Amino acid sequence: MKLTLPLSSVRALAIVAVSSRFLMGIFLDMPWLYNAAWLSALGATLLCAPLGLLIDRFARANDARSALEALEAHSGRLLTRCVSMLFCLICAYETAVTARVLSNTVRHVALSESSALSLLLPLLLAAMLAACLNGQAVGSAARVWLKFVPVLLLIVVLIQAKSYRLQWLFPLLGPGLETLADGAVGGAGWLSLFALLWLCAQRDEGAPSRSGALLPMLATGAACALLLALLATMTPPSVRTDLTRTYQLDKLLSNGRASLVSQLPLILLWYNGLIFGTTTGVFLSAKFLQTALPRLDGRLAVLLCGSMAFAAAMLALAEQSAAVAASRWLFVAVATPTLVLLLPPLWKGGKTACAPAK
Amino acid sequence: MRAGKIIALLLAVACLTGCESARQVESIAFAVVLGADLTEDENIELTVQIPKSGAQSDGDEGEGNSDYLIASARGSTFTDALMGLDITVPRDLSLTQVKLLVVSEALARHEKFFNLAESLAKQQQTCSSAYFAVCRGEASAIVREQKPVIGMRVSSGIIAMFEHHRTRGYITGANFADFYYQGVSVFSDPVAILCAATKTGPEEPSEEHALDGMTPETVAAESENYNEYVGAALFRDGLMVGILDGQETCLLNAVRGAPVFFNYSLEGMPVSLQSQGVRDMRIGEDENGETRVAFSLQFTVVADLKAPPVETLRETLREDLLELLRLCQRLQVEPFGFAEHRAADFASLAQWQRYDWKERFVRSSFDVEVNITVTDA
Amino acid sequence: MAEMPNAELLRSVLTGVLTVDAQRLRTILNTPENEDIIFRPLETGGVEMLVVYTEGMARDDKIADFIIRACRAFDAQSDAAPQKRAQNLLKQAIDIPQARLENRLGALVEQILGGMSALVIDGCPEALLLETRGFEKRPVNRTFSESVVVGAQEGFVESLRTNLTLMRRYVQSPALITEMTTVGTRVPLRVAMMYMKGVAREETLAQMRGRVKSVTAAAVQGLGQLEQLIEDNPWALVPQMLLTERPDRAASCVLDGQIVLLADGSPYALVAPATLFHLLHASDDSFMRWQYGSFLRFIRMLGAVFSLLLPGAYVALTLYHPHLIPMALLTAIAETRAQVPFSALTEVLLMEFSFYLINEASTRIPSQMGSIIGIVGGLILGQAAVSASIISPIVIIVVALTGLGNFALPGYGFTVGMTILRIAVILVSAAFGLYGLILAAFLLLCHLCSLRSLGVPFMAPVAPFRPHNPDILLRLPIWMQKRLLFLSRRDSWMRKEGKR
Repeated sequence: MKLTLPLSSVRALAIVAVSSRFLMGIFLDMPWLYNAAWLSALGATLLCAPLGLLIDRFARANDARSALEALEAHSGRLLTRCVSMLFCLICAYETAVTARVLSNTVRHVALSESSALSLLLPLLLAAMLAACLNGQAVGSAARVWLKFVPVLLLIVVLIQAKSYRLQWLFPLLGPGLETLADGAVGGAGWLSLFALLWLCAQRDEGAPSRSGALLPMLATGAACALLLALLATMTPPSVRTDLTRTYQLDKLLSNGRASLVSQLPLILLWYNGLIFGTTTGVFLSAKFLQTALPRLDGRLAVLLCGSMAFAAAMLALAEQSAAVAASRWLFVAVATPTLVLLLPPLWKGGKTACAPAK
Repeated sequence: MRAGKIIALLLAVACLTGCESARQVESIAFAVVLGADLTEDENIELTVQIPKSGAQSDGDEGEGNSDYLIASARGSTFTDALMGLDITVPRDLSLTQVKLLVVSEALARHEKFFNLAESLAKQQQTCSSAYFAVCRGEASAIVREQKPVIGMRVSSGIIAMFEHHRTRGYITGANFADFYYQGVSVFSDPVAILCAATKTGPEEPSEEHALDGMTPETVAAESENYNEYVGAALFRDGLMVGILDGQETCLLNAVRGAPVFFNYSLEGMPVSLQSQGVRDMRIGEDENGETRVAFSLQFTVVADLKAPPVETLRETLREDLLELLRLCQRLQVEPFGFAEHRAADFASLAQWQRYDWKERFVRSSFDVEVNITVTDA
Repeated sequence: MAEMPNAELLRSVLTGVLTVDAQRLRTILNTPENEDIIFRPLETGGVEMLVVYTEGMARDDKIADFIIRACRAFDAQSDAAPQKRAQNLLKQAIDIPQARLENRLGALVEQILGGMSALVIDGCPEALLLETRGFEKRPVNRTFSESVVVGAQEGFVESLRTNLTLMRRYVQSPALITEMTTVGTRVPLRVAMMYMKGVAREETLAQMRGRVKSVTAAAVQGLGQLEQLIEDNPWALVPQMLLTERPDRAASCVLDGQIVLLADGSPYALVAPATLFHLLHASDDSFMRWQYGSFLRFIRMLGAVFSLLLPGAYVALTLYHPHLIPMALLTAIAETRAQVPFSALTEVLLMEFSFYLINEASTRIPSQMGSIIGIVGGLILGQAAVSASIISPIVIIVVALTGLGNFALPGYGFTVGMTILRIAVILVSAAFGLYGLILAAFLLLCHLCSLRSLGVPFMAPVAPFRPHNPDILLRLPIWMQKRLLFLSRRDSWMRKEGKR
């Protein structure tokens, strides 16, 4: 089975999966950004913009096929496969982190006596099953889910409206420019997963003619920044240095100030976002693995990548400290090979380098 | 297809592994009120009120509340006491539906209080939106005597009562999360509701003014509901440092921007006041480097049978406000929310912390303007 | 595989020698064992003829008046060429409007068994097939499973001819094409494929034709079985084609570019390709004002959500997330459950199965005893179970709401699929609470998005997006429907003319 991701499905999938990873990473794993996390999110969006632009240009210059196939034609099989292997490992790790956070959330909300195994296993199995249905199914599911998100967000905002205090956004720079810049680099790493999705996408008949990566990436980054700003107005900034994922999770899910009953729409949003994130991670990882090893069956690739993610999550490689340390290098790990591989063909001129896509 | 079947089968098996966390709802004891006291040996005593299944709230019960189970346990820390409660309560104890957290004044002023607050905040799914009160006397008495209004279901009765008190300005309406987050923040200090359990109040009111000087144990009223809620408890650095009476609490609410509606007594004449918020807040340093806090407070007065003397009212209110501000300065507490306004002028948290607002507030001078609009309704 | 009896004979053609042809027909039709196959010899002008028909399927009076009498009045000897006798009779004597020449024995036998009469003429290698069908059939009546308040009340019946007539009445256009075919390699079933020429996609038509032709079953007993043989994913719990009892609904589908299959003996139509939204829409949505139609559609969608998720949500919240339930409701639940000996999961499953047992029993029970269901269901299982504290009243409310939501869905097959899915959701919710519920809903959504109906994605036009009329969730005004038929050809001639 060949894993495919039609271009018409990639936008919705990218928005849902990457936004949840982005929010999760900045809000949960970087509590030291305090109430200025939204600025880091904006910074991350600006950092990723050139990457989005590059992907767009490359995709337009190679209109008829997927970016990965075009890469192979331009840069050679060996280099593309090595880079695909690297991206496969990155995606598997990100899947492990997302799965770990979701299992922590579940344990925090209800299943406090369940083991990590009994929480991670159903999630990763479900993600693998969904990934085996191929990219169009998962992308379509994300599109349907995106229709519910604004309604649920509106309910959440209305329920918590009385809790918001704009004064808590100040002091504006929060922990300081240096810390914010550090956060922006980490956030850019997560936002750059957009680029990986677009690399795997291939044109199909339903795809709009200008289905670029830049605009959705910017919109997602800006929307996440807005959400982070809203979250910042729910509690006054604290200078505690021992803030854990659980502390931040509690702030996120119920804020404490809104009654627990209002947790339900937030749980729906959060769980679904992370489930999509996990599934997308497994699928992407398997897709890159299949690109690196073309003879590998898609389902087997999904099984292998899901198992890798499971192992990483169970072996505590996906805890907060490890995830944050990895995030500092994630942007470099994604952007550098992408730049190295995509720029030369564009400089040389692709087949239809200057012709606008129809 | 076979791989898909294998994965589906594993998924079905995996689903069986989660069942052990399930609890039937009738086998859980949901505490509605939680009280914490400091014993003579400086241990923590926790008392919970658990409604019994099948019980309707009924104010005719009198002594011996058969609708509820009252349980208490002691321990050197909150966690130890909670473990004791877990053992003594005949079902699985859950704090997720607690509507009121009460701490005795003695405990609130003791160093153990900060750990108690931390432990409560760390409890998974504890109802942080519960109202948080400090009681004069024993918290266990509050827990025992807390009854909802006749005929209503247990929790909505408490909520309705607090909502009523809050809109009238008698209490600050602080919930535990507000209290905790404010306590660990870099801004203003937190406040809690003040309460007391009194079987009979004083025979006569103590002051000419209705709320002035009124604290929960001096409310000149009697009812089957022994618990009185009026006033505020002030906290600094995690410990209670003082209280505010009824009128001071109303004014505090007004300065914090809450639209309270309360009765004010001006030379024996009752005046219905409604606060309309704070305007023109300016906080800064003058040429001598002294911090100056200036703001204007808006009130609306309802002219019932005759128009009140506006100038006298303005001056009296202004004096009362300044008195309140000075009291807080003496206690070195800033519960008004001024810090949030001032912090907006700083770029980073480090700069704000170097500014040392709490120190400056204690030495601030105030420029308070009271604007009163007379209205017919 | 063993061949059918007389397979060789069935593949042969008429010889023109009446005695030989008559004997062959008797052999194939197993007369005289089959006493209801009638062989009526007659002679006119010295020419021997034979009328073959099935008693009860063909009308005797038609045969007497329009065949036998007409043949007797015809001077067959005047015809110089014996081979053209059948042709001449057809043109000059036979008054029956539908008649044709046929020389294949297999086709003759098929039509005789279908109610037509065959007139075999000595000396002529062609026989006449004459329309004499007159078997007893149910009259056009109200629909049983797709009732509407506003709109046509007619429903399909078992006669293919009547059903085709109903469709023609609703779509009076020469572009409505009826392709007749049969399915079943041994016992054929007549099937009509109806579509709008120039509107339905060629590739969809080709797919449908291919699938119908590729059915290798010996006998197919109705559209329900045919659906299972030609659908894209027979393992899915959700049907990928629409079965409708309503000719107005089928007509609407045909106008949208879908293909309608009708079969003899099946009082409904099979429509494909169909999406999830077709399964959720009812025909009277478009007969009412758009506000009413939209509102009722919203209620139906809510019913679908309740039907799938409500019991699972109840189980999840009470077992794992009581903190998400307001205290007042929680105490009500705890109070009512205090005496119940079963867990919440057992209660819900017990009530679900009881509900569907009542449902199934009320479908099968003879009408004379129908009132017993009310007594058993309402009093015994409802009131008595609550009084004896076997079931809590809240579970009865939950299951009742679920059942109502289920029956608000138009398609019966879909409701049964939802029931099975609901049981799975309940079990997963009992294992993992909201986590399990959300995981199950996610998997179900992905599964639905992966399904196809004749190659068309099942969740289209929402996901993947295709330009479409504003008629998916909300039914916006008719004059806003531009005929953007995502199932039809790109150059379809079915478009809105001009502007409003």
